[in-house]
Amino acid sequence: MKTLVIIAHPKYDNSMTQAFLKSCQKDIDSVDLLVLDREYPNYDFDVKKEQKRLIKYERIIFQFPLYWYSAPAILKKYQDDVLTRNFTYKDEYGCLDGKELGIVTTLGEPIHHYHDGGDEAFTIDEIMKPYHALAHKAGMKFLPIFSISQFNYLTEHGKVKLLVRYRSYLTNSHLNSFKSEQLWYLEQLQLIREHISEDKKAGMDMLLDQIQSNYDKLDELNWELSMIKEKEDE
Amino acid sequence: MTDKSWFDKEVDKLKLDEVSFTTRSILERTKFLVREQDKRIQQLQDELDGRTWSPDKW
Repeated sequence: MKTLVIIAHPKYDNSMTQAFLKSCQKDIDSVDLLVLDREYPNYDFDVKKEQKRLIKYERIIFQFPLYWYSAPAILKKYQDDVLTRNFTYKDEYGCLDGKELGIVTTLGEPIHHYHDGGDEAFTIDEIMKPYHALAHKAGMKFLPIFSISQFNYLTEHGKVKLLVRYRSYLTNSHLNSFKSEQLWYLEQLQLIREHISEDKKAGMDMLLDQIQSNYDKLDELNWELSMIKEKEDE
Repeated sequence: MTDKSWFDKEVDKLKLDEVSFTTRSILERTKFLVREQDKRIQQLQDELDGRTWSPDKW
C-alpha cells in the first residue's frame, strides 16, 4: 500500500510538530510527502500532474494545523483546482474510488475542549465533516481522524506513543483491527531486526516469537468462540 | 500468556545503545502490545468458560 501525505502549512519549515512527524516516517519507502506551500507557493497548481500523482496512491492523507476550524487556505484551493468533477465524482471517472482519505490535524487547544459543552463546542469529527463528505462523493473510505493536541506539551512517553500511532496511521492497512495492528508490529520488528547488530538478533527473535505465539493463541480462541456461537444459534 | 517482566527486560536490552528514536519507540510500544494481547486472551478464555459452563446447558 502506498500513502501520500499532502501537507498544508504556511510555516512548515518552522513547525516543530511537522518536523517531528516528518522524522517519524522518513525511513518508510511506501510513504511520500507533498508539501503544498513549498511546491506551489503561488497557489498555481499543475492540475494534470497532481491528478496523476493522486492516482498512484491507495491512501491519501491531508495533514494540516487547524486554522479557524478548517485547513489553511492552500488546501482548499488545492481541492478546488485539482479535484475536478470528472476526476473525483465516483459516478463520473471516479479516479479516487476505492482509495482511502485520512486527516491528520494538529490543535493548539487541548483535545477535551472539542466536545459538546466544551470550550470549542464541537467535536473534531463534526468539524471535519466536509472532508468526510468529499470522501463519500469520491467513493473513498474515510479513515478515523488523527488529531494531535498541544504537541509542545507532550512528554517523552507521549512522543513515543505519537510516533508509533502516526506510523501506523500511514502504513497499517486496516486501522480499526487489532489483528492488523499485531501484524503491523511484527512487520515493523522484522524491519528493525534487519538493521540491528548480530548479538541482538536472538533477543529480537524471542520477542517476535512471543508476539506471534500470542497472536496465534488469540486466533485460536476467536475460532473456538465463533464455533460455540454458531452452535448456540442452531 | 506473557511473562511481563521477562518481556520488558528483553525490550530494554534491545533499546540499550539504540540511537534511533523511531526504533526505540517501536520497541517500547511492543510492551503495550503484549499487555493488550494478554488482556484479550484472558477475556476470550473467560468468555469461552462462561459459554461452555452456561446453566442453560445443564
